Amino acid sequence: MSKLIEKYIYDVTRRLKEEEREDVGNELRANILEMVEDESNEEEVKRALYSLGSPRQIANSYRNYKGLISPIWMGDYLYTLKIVLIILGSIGLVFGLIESLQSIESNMVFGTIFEVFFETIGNAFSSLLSGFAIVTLIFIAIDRYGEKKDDWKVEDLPEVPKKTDLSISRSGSIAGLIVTIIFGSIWLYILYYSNLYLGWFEVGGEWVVEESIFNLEYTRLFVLIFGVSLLVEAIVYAFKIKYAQWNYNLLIMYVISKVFSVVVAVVFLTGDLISVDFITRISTELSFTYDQVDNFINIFKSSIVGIIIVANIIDFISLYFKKIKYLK
Amino acid sequence: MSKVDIESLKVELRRGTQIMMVLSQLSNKEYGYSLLEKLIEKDLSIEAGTLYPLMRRLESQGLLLSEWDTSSARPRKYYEISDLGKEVLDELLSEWKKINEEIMKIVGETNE
Repeated sequence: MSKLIEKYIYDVTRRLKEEEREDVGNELRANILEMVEDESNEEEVKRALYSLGSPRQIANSYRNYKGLISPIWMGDYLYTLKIVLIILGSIGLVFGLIESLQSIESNMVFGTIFEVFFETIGNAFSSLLSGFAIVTLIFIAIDRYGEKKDDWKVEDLPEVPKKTDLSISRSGSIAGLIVTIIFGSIWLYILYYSNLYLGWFEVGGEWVVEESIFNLEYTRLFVLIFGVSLLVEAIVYAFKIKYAQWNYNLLIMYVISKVFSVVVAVVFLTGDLISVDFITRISTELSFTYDQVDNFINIFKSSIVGIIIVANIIDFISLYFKKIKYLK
Repeated sequence: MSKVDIESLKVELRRGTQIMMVLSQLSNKEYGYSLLEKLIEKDLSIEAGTLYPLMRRLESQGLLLSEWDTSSARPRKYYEISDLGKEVLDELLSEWKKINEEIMKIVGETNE
């Protein structure tokens, strides 16, 4: 027995169903042996095997391959998959964000950002996977057990969508970049000197800050983090200017920068942002208890977090319907 | 136009006709390699890697009958056309003629 032939047959049959391996193998062996005069002549064996083609290819022809989902359902399958994945992805992002915020283990701000960022992404990813599995299973079932006949009515035909171009206006991107850099820098400046500009003022000959709203150490730490986020956003703008139209690379960068900036903003808001002195001052000035003011601030912070998340989801969905849908 | 892969278009066009080739040559028993040689002798282009799986597929569809001959030193699997196979071959041949006429007709028209 030629070792080469056996190896070839093994490589073909291992790709086939268990029950047909032996028979296909025997037949293939018989045919190959017919093709060579002398099976100990390795060159001759090689020529015969090359004329048969690669094991993958020939196994594929033997397999009479039918995909899990037949071509007739493929379009609907991909469409449903896309919609479901977008919905599940956004829900996964939101719940992932909320969940990871509740279970922060790291006590370093940087650690927290990374933890929240990756946990959120991970969460979204796992809900995408289950969405993919469920949709696929449903379509396999439809394909196998559904009605074979394909009824349709002219009334069911969809509307022709409006033509959409994927272009991004360069001037718009440049304006966006400039605005982002200017306001971003102002924001960073204010954060760095938050003790000077944001506080409880006493009106005297000059405005005098008595109590800062924010913990200075905390806001100064975030200057760097917001700086990174700003840089990432600027890079995305740069690519928008470069490509001047939506494509998958740009989309991925855009989504990552969005998720990152949302995570940074949310972590910033949920952390130890407001100074104890400020809360104390407010509560004495307005004659509330400390806890009442603290509570009110927390509700306020949560609403801002909610608004940020919802706004970004709406932004993404509108981007999807306006542009991404039409990406090739 | 340079992106058109003429070879794969040809392969696609041939694929359906290969069934007719195989069915038509199996009124007597043949095994894989003998059929291959027979086809090559008649200048029909089909590759071993295409032919063997095709014979097996036609068998699973009931168009060919097969049996193992283990009496000689080299066991061989012989194939022969079934009654269903003959019917299908007739259908395919008349369809083939029809297509051929149709193509010739419209190609003739445009050439004039």
